[in-house]
Amino acid sequence: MKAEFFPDSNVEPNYILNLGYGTEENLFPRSPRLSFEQAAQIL
Amino acid sequence: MAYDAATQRDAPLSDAALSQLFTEARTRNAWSDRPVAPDLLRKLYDLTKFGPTAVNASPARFVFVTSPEAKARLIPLMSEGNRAKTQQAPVNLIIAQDIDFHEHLDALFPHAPGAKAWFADEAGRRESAFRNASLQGGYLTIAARALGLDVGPMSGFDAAP
Repeated sequence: MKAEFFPDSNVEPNYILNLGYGTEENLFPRSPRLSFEQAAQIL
Repeated sequence: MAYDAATQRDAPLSDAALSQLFTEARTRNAWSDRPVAPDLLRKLYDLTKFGPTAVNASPARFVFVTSPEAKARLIPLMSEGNRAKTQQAPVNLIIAQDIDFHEHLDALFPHAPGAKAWFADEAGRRESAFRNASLQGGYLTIAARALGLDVGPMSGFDAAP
């Protein structure tokens, strides 16, 4: 990726993101998320 | 009605807006053939660019891959499981970071002349660029959803030089 799209520069790839109007095909059921208690604290 | 910063800035968005941005938004793995106009990509950038970054350095660089020729350069670099959906999506966005972001600080951070000198160390710049460009990618996800677009972020690709 670096050589193909960013040669001769100090730019480095981070990630790729597809963009457009999605369909329902291959859509997983919504995965669970961590609860507030698991992921957060208020001090 | 124009947005009134003095009286409306602390008003939460509607439940419908929060659903579109967060609770009903999904990572998409398949794409319709509805195109995304270049003007919409410019609008997407023009929202994303206002998200906060350290010293306003704005290290993210965005390559919108849309032409068959450019997609043909990108697809072989994707991991195998990501190729079909990347081919199908009308736009593949490469989010990158400029490790030499400090070259722009005279313009981007004008109230601290000489800020460029804070970033003489390349390893430190690389850490800062990765952190802040990753933040900008998150802003872009929310901006895209705000504009009615879907996203499908992927880490599986060949990054090596």
